[in-house]
Amino acid sequence: MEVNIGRVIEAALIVFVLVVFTYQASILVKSPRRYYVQNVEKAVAFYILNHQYDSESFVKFLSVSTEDLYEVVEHYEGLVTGTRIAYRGREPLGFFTIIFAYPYDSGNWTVVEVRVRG
Amino acid sequence: MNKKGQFLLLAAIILAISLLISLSFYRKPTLSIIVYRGYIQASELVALARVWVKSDFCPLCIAKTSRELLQLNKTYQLNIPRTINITVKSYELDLYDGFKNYTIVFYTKKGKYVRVVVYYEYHYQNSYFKKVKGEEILYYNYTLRYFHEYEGPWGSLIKYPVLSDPNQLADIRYLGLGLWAVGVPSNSTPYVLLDEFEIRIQVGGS
Repeated sequence: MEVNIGRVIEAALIVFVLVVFTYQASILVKSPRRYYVQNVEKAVAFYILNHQYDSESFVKFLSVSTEDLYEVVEHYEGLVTGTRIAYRGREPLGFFTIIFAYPYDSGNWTVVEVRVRG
Repeated sequence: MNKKGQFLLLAAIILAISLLISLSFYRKPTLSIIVYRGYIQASELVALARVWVKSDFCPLCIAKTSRELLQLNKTYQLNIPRTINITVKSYELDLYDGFKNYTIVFYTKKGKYVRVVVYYEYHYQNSYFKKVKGEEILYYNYTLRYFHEYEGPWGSLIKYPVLSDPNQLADIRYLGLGLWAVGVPSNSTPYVLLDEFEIRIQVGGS
């Protein structure tokens, strides 16, 4: 049987392109958008540095800072305990959670989970 | 590869694309917690330092809040690095001039991590009379300079917090860049103002 080298190279190239495409596509589907997450992380830090934590103003601030905000959940720790959903948007395919603890006084903390699409 | 084979390959590629697209639609939300130490952890320590200043560096409060943060760090995986801290308070509060300086430095194994300075100073300018509820009251007029300085992974940040007057007797005017003109009743010195983090600012005495 005669082997056509040109055809073999062509087939190999097609297979190579297919593999590269599949790999890149799977990264696109699976990987989080870290860039956005880090932006939100910086925005949250900016808020903590400049404000006394307040649920309403925090959600308002984040809504302006990013379009990727999905959920803000507050856990009250200390003398008063409990959990409250401060904000919930449309459920995304995947999300990241950024957590921070904010102290008001000793025995009076709010742990905030910010969920960002990604 | 003949024409039939090429069509077959093309069909396989189209099928692969369609499969990837449809799979992406069927992906369920997955929870990912960032193990990323950025600005947030350092800013949490700034918030903690402000609570310590609010308590005027009460040792019990510092110990209790430190323990609480340690516990929360473990429970919620806040990823705050292990730190040791140094707190320094210096002040001289007289009727005519005064200052107060709180400095907190958090160190990690790698060195200085976060530094917080809360500082104010006031200087007597003049006095005036003001009618309050039909009574002439002597007011002392001061200039007050008040700022916070936060050093951390973000560099250095100066904040000029907003002041409020819980007793509503003082005349407060913001002049810009952390400078305030404050008129306080002479019979109420030292006069206490509060900033937006409930930190007490004393004007005209200790």
